[in-house]
Amino acid sequence: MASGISQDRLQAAREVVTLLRTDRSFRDSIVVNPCGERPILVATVDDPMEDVLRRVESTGLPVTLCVRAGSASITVATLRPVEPDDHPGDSTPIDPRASVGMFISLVWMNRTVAFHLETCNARAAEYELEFA
Amino acid sequence: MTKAKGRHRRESQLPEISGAPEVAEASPDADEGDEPGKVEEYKAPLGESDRVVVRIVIGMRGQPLDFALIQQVRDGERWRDVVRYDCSHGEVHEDRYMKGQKGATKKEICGLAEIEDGYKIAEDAIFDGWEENRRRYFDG
Repeated sequence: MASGISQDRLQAAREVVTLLRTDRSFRDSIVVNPCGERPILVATVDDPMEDVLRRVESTGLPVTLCVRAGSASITVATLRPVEPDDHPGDSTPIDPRASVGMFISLVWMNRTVAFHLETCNARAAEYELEFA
Repeated sequence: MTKAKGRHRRESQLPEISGAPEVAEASPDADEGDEPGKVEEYKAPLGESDRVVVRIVIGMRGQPLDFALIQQVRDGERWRDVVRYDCSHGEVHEDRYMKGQKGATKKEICGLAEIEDGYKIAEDAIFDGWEENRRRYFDG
């Protein structure tokens, strides 16, 4: 019974675990949720955002997203829920299959990205992603 | 635990994180950055049924004083330890679990004086052996 977790994600998780031991600024950048927990989502740039949001269901929000791109260092961002009126710009509709890397690029350009999934019916769940 | 380490832990009232089945929820003021001697717990789900849990106590000079590094799988509605590395019983040691069996197979890794080495060994054993650890948990 294999986990199906990619080697890239395991490698990224290993680097996160190392940083928790060695890097105070990294530890300080991990968001603490209202329950006092420090959930971390580890992803690679090629992972679909849909997969990240599925894992969010088990961690809740806010959550720290740690993304590894190739041999580059880990990019750390915070994912929060937002109300439609709580962000200055328009919420970007995204295809659930869009990659995490695309979001990180948007955050590099805009500092903060508000988005919702195109497939959401009823009232769209909106999220905000920004560097930690 | 060496006598010196044990005395240090008692005198400084460091929380004991190792070997305990669960740690109490962190306090609401847990976002005050590194506070020496305070247990910090991080949970990282890697898939729908797999996660790694890190509990760590960092000292004044930024060195780990105590840790637990745990690979877990979701088994039904509960998260179960597959393999756990921690610092209880005066040493860094490994506990391996099997589905349906009480207790763990224990193995000493190193002394507390080499706690950072123990953490690195735990990292390697968990992430290099993720699938094998999992297989051994379910299939023996």
